[in-house]
This record gives sequence, structure tokens and C-alpha cells, in this order.
Amino acid sequence: MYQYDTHDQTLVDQRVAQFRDQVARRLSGALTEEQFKPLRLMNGLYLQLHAYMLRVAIPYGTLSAAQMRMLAQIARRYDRGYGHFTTRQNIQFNWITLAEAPDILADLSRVQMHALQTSGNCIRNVTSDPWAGVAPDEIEDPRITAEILRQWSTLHPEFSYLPRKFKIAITGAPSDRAAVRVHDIGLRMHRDDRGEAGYEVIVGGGLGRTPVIGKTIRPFVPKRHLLSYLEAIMRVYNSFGRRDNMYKARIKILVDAIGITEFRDLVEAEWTTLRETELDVAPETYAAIAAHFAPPAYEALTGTVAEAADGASDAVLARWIRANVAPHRVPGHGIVNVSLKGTDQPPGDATASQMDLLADLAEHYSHGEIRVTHEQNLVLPHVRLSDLPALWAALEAAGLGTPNVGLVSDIIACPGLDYCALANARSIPLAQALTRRFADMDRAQEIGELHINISGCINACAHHHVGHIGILGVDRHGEELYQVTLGGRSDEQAALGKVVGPAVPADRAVDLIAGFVDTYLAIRQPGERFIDTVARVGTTPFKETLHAAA
Amino acid sequence: MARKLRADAPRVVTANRLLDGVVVYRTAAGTWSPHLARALVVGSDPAVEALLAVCERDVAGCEVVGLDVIEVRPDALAARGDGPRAITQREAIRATGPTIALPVDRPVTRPASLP
Amino acid sequence: MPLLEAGVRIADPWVVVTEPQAVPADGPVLVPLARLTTERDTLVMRRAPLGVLLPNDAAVADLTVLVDGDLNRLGLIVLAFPAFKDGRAYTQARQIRETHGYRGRLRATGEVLRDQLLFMVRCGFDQVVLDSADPEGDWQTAVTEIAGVYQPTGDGRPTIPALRRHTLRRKGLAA
Ligand code: SF4
Repeated sequence: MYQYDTHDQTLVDQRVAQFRDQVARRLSGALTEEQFKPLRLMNGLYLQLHAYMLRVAIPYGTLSAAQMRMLAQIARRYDRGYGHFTTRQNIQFNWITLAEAPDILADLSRVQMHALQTSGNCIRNVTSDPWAGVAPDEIEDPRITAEILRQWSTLHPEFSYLPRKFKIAITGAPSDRAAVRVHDIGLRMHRDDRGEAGYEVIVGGGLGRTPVIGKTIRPFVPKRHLLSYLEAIMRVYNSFGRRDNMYKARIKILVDAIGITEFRDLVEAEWTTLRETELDVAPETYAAIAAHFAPPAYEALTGTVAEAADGASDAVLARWIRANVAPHRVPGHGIVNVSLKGTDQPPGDATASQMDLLADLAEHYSHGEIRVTHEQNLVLPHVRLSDLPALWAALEAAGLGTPNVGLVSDIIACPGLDYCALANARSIPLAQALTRRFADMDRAQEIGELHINISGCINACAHHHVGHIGILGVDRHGEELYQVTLGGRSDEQAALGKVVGPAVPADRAVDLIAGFVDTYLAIRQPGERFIDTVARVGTTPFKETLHAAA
Repeated sequence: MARKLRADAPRVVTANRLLDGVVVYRTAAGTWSPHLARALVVGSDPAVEALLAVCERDVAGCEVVGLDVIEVRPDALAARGDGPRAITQREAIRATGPTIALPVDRPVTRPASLP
Repeated sequence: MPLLEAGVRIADPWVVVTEPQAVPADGPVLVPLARLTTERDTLVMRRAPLGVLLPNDAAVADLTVLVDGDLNRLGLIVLAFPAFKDGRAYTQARQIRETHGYRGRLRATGEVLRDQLLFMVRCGFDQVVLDSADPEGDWQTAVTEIAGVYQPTGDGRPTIPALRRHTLRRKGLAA
């Protein structure tokens, strides 16, 4: 894992002191709310429905055991004993006071964490593949680049007052687990003809009010030139992105308005002034950061995850392994995905005691490392297959053993109207109702891979457009209704879901989705996942359920 | 979220406390209460304007932020002393908190196998 | 409002000449880009310093063509922050300094707040018009409260990556 040096640490400490002063100036009246708001947002602090919410950055979703313990401590000391892991691999605390926010940031800095740029119209926390470094299909660990991007984007003087927020995602593997086609900039690592690793740069993707799949602006940018190329993109966006209408201010609108060809020309022209400058990532810089992400000392073991499942002494354990443990690049090891989607658990929430336990388990079983996924689950990335039974028992005892990763009840849901000041409708109660409807884990396995995403408003924090089944909360004259889409996906074949039928109340939405699942089970061909069936037959057979349920 | 309100609708003024973000309502006594039931209900545009003007001083004085006027249901319950009720789901949630059971930080068993 | 140069309060010698006014024969004048466009020859031939107000939706190229590609024929360029959240002038500033090698004075006007001063300085501004009771003190705090920088911006500060490379090389030599 990346370790701060004194430069990183000093910057974060000085930033905490700066924010403490800004809070003091706000409380004294020297700063108005309008002036203060962007400052607090750039330190992750929102004002939500009931209190302040602090969003802490978990850069590219990687956490150490010590960091997880600090998150637990913050949850206990400053919040109500729990936190919420988000679809952007961050954590949010919901019950924060403005007065204590600087103390929390100071505590975070003691474990090399911060809340910098988790909000505001700046370059946000860079997201990546939660299986980085351990996925069998990976070309190179994307976290090396993600860390370089984290540093480059931190307090960037030119790009801290952009037209709108800016999100970058990177994957180092052909299977895209970072949704790079629905980000402002997506980076997909691959090799050129000479075998050199670099990036395909995708621009102008995004969800929200106007969902767009990103377009390739340059098929290959060598590592050395990545920062100068991105700086050129940012510069064009900062100059020409719309500032008159916040709903049209994202880069996707600019790319769409002038077309990718003209956008590319502007970027390439700007790039000629920026490349071959100090922005170039020197090979020694890359190597120095890469050293932080060197793999841990694995034992020489044998065996596969499938064998571990087949050989499990217990059917429940076997089911958990099949659902939650993924193949690792090193023999005899597995990637353990810990579901935060138990029945009645708000999706992505974990209590302080659960966080502490996970820290202990990570230390004991996973070389001290934990990851956060954009499906709002956690990962213990380096587990010996022989440890699976003991690890599972410990998770199970703490309510963390739900065997549903990637299945129908692994629902992605934003906080919605229960917490969020921008929401139209609640997300969590609907997620819980669906989880109860699909509580039978054997049936969930029978249904197979299926992603349901629920956003409480058009901001699409739960990425409903790319859910196999997407659900969007809308407000019709004070009534909470839900608009359902089918066929979205965020993988390497990214697609936006299609709306099926009018918006319906929550209980109808549950019936509808149960009906969709029944339809799928009835018409699927052997080996077909839900999304494959939708791709083959379209939405029409599913719409018939709609009438049946009406 | 400013909504279009009827000119004669019963309304209250709400905000968040600057220091901790807690939802508060303006009372008849000129204070801010976390309880909607204690809120002062006003029923005409001029009365709302006048009340807002007074509340703005507490915004300037850094006591509250995010002033808003919301419509309430005063009805017979108010006469019985229960005070006004929120009409929209959003305001009901602001007034009484999330509708879900919040996670409770219960101790978890730490397996004996861990050092 | 107080004008600061490199953190020190100074008097403003520049006379702003807007549309109907005649351009005085001598002394430094500051004109909007539009006026430079229409009266380019007269203004450029004047034997006194010339400054330009560049709106933040104009391209820097719109200005360079008027001075034969040499921004150093200007004594002052003034960029605008119509609202502090509107950050276009940061990009203009870096283009003016780093792409076009401008060495004259670069001034930030409009909604210039203390908490943005560090970014402005890093992007190449050396003058700001700052509405503050203690502008010099505010400047001093703002530009020093965060010492390290990750990005090369042409402001001359050694970046953190450069400092690290330096350390690495020294270690390499020692080894
Ligand atoms: S999608 Fe809307 S309701 Fe949900 S968290 Fe985002 S802004 Fe809030």
C-alpha cells in the first residue's frame, strides 16, 4: 500500500490546519455560507437533511487495517456508531457537527487519510478496480497510476474551480470493474504493439440527468505522458465547459455539443504545449510509487477457489465461497468479498464493531489490506484458501457472512430521502423490501448474477442507468414513485438501461421486479445470465409482466 | 427546496443550526426549536415575509443556515396542542429523522482464533 | 479596493480607459480587449505602457494576435473572476505565463477571495485586487499555509515529485 512521505503528510496536516481556520472564520461570521460552502465541500463536508455529512476519501478503494480502525473510532466518537461505504469507494459519516469536523480530519491525517476533494467542482477521488493487484486478468496494478493521479489532482491550482465535479476511473484489467465508460475520464490500461503498457483514454461518459457512454479520445497514451494529456483535457474543459446551467456543465455535454473530433483537436493542440515538460511522469517516479504496491509475500500454495468450494465441509460455507470468493492470481489464494447487504442492513452500512473486526481479520488473514468496492461491499484481497472456513465463521458471527455478492439481493442503493438533501424518494426501504423478497439464498444462486441499482434522484449516485435492473426515485406531487429500467450494465460492454413502464409506488416496484426475475427464469437459455437474456430478447417479454402485475 | 406555496397556506420557517446541522424551526418566542410541533405557524404572505426578515438576522449572526419556508398541516390537532405537522415526505423525514432502523453498534464476537 | 503586488500594497498607476474616453497621450493605460481590437494600431504605437483587460470567455490567442504574438509588448494583463467559482482565468493565466512566456504583470480582479489566493499565485498572478481589512496579512497566510505542491505550474516552486527525484538521485549517488 502507498505510504505517505513527509511531503504528503505535511500537506495533509497543513490542509487540516487551514480548514480549522476556515471553520473558525465561518463561525465568527468572517465567511458567509456562500463563500464557505465550496471550501467545506472541498474538504468533504456536506449539509444534509439532518446534520453535516463527512465524506472521507478512500483513494482507489484501498484501506489498511489501521485506517479501518480509525474509521471505526470516528464512527463511535463523532457519529452514531456506523458509517456508509459509497459507490465511489468512499465512506460517509451521517451525523457530524461542523464544530468537530476539523478534529475528525486531524484524526484521519494520523492514519494518512483525508477528505480532500470528495466533493466540490474539482477532480474527485480517483476510483479503480477493487481487485487491483490480485485479479488474474490484470495487466498492471492500476493503483500505481491512481496514486499518481491522486497526487497530481490534489489542490490543483488550475482545476479547483471547474464548471462542475470531475470523476476519473481507471482499470488495469480487460474486465472492467471500475465502470470507466461512465466517468468524465475513464482510463483502460492495455499494451501497444511493442508491449509497452499505457492507457486508452475515454472521455465524456457519465450518468446523472443525461447519461452518456464515454468516447475514446485517444486509443493509447504512454504512461509517461498521461498527466500532460489529462491536463490538456482538463484545460479544454475548464475553458469551454458551460457555467450558465449546472445541469449542462459536465464535460459530457461539452463533448456532445462540439463533437468528439473537435474536442480531440482542441485537446491535442493544448497537449503540444504541455507534453515533454516537467509533467512527464519520470520512469523513476513511476517505479518509486510502484514499489509501494509490490505484492505481499504470498506462501507457495496450491488449489483453486472452485476446489475450495467443492471440498467445503459445510453446504452453507460452500455456498458462501461460490458467491463471495473470486479467483486470485496466486494459486492457493482467493479474493474474499464481504457483503454489506444483509437483510435489514442499509446497503453499504457497517457498524464500528464490524469495522474493527474487519481490521482484525484483514491483519490476520489478508496481509492487513481491505478494499471498498463500488458495489458498496468490502474485499479482503489476499486470503489463503485454507483460511476460508475460519474467516467465514468469523464473518458469519458478525452478520457479515451473507452469501450474495453479485446476486439479486446485493443491491446498490444511495442514501436517498432518509438522509440526502437532494433526494426525491427513499432508496433504503425499497432495497430492504427487495432484499427480504429475495431472502432465499439458494434461489438467489439459482437466479445468478443480477445487479439492482436504486438512486433516490436523477443524480444517479447508485448508477441506476447501468444496473441490470435500475430504479430511480421520482417525486410526483409529494408521492414517492419509482421508475424502472432494464438492460443497463457498467462492464466493458457498458450500456444504459431502457425505461419499462410508468413510475410506480414502492410495493408495486417490488412485485414488478419479482415478475421480471420470474420471466427471466422462465425464458432463459442454458448458461444465460439475466443481462444476457435481456440482451437477447429485449424488454418486450418483460413488459408483459408489467401488465400481469397491474 | 423552495416550493410554490399557496398565498394563504399555513407555513413555518425552518433551517439548520450552523454548528451541528440539526433541523430547527422558528418558534413564537423568537427562538429555534428542533421540534416542529413548537414552530410558529403563519398564514399569509406578508406575515411570512416579515418572519423571514427577522430570521435572516440569525443567518447573518451565524446561528442558522439554509432558511426555508415549508407548508404544514395545522388542522384540529394543532388546536389540541400537538402543533403543526409536515405535509411532504421530505419534511416529515427532516422533522422526525430517517424512516429506517439505523444500524446499532452492537459488540460482535471476536473469534478465539484471532491473536 | 487594495491592490497587492507580490503581497505588498501598492498604488495603481494604471488608468482604465473605457469606450467613450479618449486615450491620454502618455502614462500607463489599461483598455478592454474590445478596444484594443478596434484601435490596435494607435494603442500599440503609443510610447507608454499598455495594459489589457481580457474577459474570461476570450481565448488568449485573441490577445496574442493583436500584439504580433508577443505578449511582452504589454505591461499588464488583467484577468477577471466574475464569481469566485468561475475558474476560467486560472487556465488563461497559465497559458499567458507558461505557453506564451509573458513576464509582465498579471492581475486578478473581480471576486478575489483570500482562500483562492494560493491558486492564483501558483497560476502566475502577481497582482490581486483584494477586498480585505488586512490584505497583506491575508496574502501572507494564504500563500504560505500550504507549503508543498504536486503540480509544476511555472511558478518556480520545486514540486514534490521533483524534490523526491532529487532525493532519489542523491541516494543513488551515495550508494
Ligand atoms: S442519487 Fe440523489 S438521492 Fe441518492 S444520494 Fe445521490 S443525490 Fe442523494
